[in-house]
Amino acid sequence: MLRDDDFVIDDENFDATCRNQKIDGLPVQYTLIPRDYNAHPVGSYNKGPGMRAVTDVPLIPMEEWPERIKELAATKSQISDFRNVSGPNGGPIPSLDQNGYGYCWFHSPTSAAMLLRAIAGLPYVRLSAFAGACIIKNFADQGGWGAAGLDFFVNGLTKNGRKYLGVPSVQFWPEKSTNRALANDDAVWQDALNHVITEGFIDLDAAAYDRKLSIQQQGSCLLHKIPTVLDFNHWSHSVAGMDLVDVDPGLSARDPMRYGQRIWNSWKDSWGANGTGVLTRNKAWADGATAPRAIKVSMA
Amino acid sequence: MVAILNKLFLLLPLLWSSCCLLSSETQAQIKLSEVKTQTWVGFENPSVQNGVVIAGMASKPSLSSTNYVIVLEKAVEYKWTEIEAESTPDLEVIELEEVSVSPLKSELRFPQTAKPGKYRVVVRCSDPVNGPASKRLSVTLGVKPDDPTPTPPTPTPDGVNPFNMPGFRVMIVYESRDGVPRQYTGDVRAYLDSKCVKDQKTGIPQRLIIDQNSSFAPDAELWQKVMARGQKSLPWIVIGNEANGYEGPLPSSAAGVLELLKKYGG
Repeated sequence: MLRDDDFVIDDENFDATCRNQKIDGLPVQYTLIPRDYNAHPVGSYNKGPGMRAVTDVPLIPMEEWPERIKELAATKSQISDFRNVSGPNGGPIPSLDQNGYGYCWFHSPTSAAMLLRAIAGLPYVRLSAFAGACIIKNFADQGGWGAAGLDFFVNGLTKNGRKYLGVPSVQFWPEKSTNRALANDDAVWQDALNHVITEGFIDLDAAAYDRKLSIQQQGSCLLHKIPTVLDFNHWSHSVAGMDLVDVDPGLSARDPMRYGQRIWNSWKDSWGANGTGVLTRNKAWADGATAPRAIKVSMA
Repeated sequence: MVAILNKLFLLLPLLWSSCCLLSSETQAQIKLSEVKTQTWVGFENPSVQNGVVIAGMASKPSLSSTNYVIVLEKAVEYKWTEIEAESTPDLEVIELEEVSVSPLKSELRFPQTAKPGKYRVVVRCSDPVNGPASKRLSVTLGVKPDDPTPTPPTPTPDGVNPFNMPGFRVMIVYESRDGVPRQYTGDVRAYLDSKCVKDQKTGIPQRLIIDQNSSFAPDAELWQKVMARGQKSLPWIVIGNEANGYEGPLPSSAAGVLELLKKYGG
C-alpha cells in the first residue's frame, strides 16, 4: 500500500517528476544504455560463483502479492524500512548523488549494496559509486547498464595488470571524485575488497519473450527482501528497487497494473520522498533487472 | 553364504526423487532432479508389504551405501548443454560422470572421488530456436548416514555461549536464495537493536543476519568463528549472553523469535 508521504510517479506526471531534473543546479544525465544482447547475451554475466540464473528466483504467485505486501508493511520489514533506520544515528541512509554524471548504472547496484548491508545489520558505510564507474569507463562520462555495474561488484575487472574488485567507501575514494591517481592507490582497492557482492540473481529480464515472468521475478525478489537493480529504457535511467507496492487494490491481484515499485534514486534526498519514488502503471516495470542478495561481511 | 546373508542382512533399496518445482512454461523446458538410492542392512526376516518394510523386532537397520543420480530431462532438444556441480561453500567444480545420455534425457552421477558435503548442480541449455534455459539443484552427498527416523535439531544446552565472550549477541543464518526469513520483522530488529551489546569501534548492535555461504573480511572474525560452528538446518539462530547461549532452528514466527530472544536478552 502507498504511504502518506510516497512520491507517486505515474504516466501523467512522469515527465514533470523524472525528466529534465537538476541536482544542485546541474542537469541530470539520462545515460542508461539499453543492453546490447548481441554483445552481452543472457547468461554472459552469470559467471560469478554466487550468481545464479533467473530461473532460480523463487517466484511468489501474484495472487499472494497483496497479502505479502500487507504483511511486510504491517511488520515494518520492507527493504525501505531497513534503509530508514540504518543510516547515521539510526536515521535513513542518505541517497547517493550522481552529480550530473552519466553513472546511474553504477549508482543503482551501489545503492543495492548499501541496502544489503542494512538488511544484514552491518554498519553504515557510504560507498563510492564513481570508483567502479570510472574504472570501467576509463574515467569517461559514459552510460551503461546495471548488470555491468553489478558484475564489477561480483567479478571485478583486470586493467593494466591490476585486479579491481568491489567498491571502496567514500573515505578512500571521495564521492564524485574523478581523480585518476585513485585507480592505482592500493589502500583504495584494499578497502574495496570489503564491499564485494557474493550472491545474486542475474538477468531478471532473461525472459524478454515472457514479460509476465519478468514482472513476477522483479516483484518476488522485493517480497523476499532482495533489493533489485532496475534499468528503465523509457527513463534512460537505472535505480535500485526496494519495495513492491499495492497501488490500486481495486484491480485483480494478477494484474501488473495493480502494483508499483518503490525505487531509490541516486539524485540525492531532495528528489521525491527522501530520494525515493513509487513508479506505477506503465512506468512500473523495468526492462532489465538483476538482484544482488548477499554481500561480504565486513565491519568497515 | 547366501543363507547367512539372507538371515542377517537385506539390501533394501529405497528410492525417491526430489524434483525442482517448475514455475512457468518457459522454465518447464528442462527439468533437473535427483534420484537417491539408499541401501539399508540389518533387518530381521524382512518383507515388503504395500511398499512398507516389515521386519522383526530385533532389526537394527543401518545405512550401507547411497547412490546419487542426477536426471536431466528436456521437453525439447537443445543444441548446447552444459552441466556441472560445484561444492559449497568452497566452490570446487566437480565433473559429473555420464550414466546414460540421449537428446531428451540424461543421467549423470557424482564421481567416486567426490567428497561428502553440499553441492549445487547447474545445467544450462541453449539453442538458436528454443532459446536459453537453466536449472539448479542442491544435492547433499552423504555427510553422514541418514537416520530412518530423523530427529529434529537440538539446541545447544545452556551453559555454552557460542560467541565465547560476554554480552548479548545474535546471528541468524539463512539461504539468501530463499529470501530474508519472513519472521525477521521490524519488531525483531528493533528488539535486537535495543538489547544487543554495541561494538566498541562501530557503535552498532552486535546482531547479524547473513547468508549461509557468506564470506568474511578480517574484521568480522568473531562472526566467522560462530558461523563455522555449523548449522543443522536453515534458517538458524545463534544467541549468546553472559554465560549461556542457544543454537538452533529459527522459530517459525516473529512472536516465537521474540520469545526466544527475550529468554536470553531480557
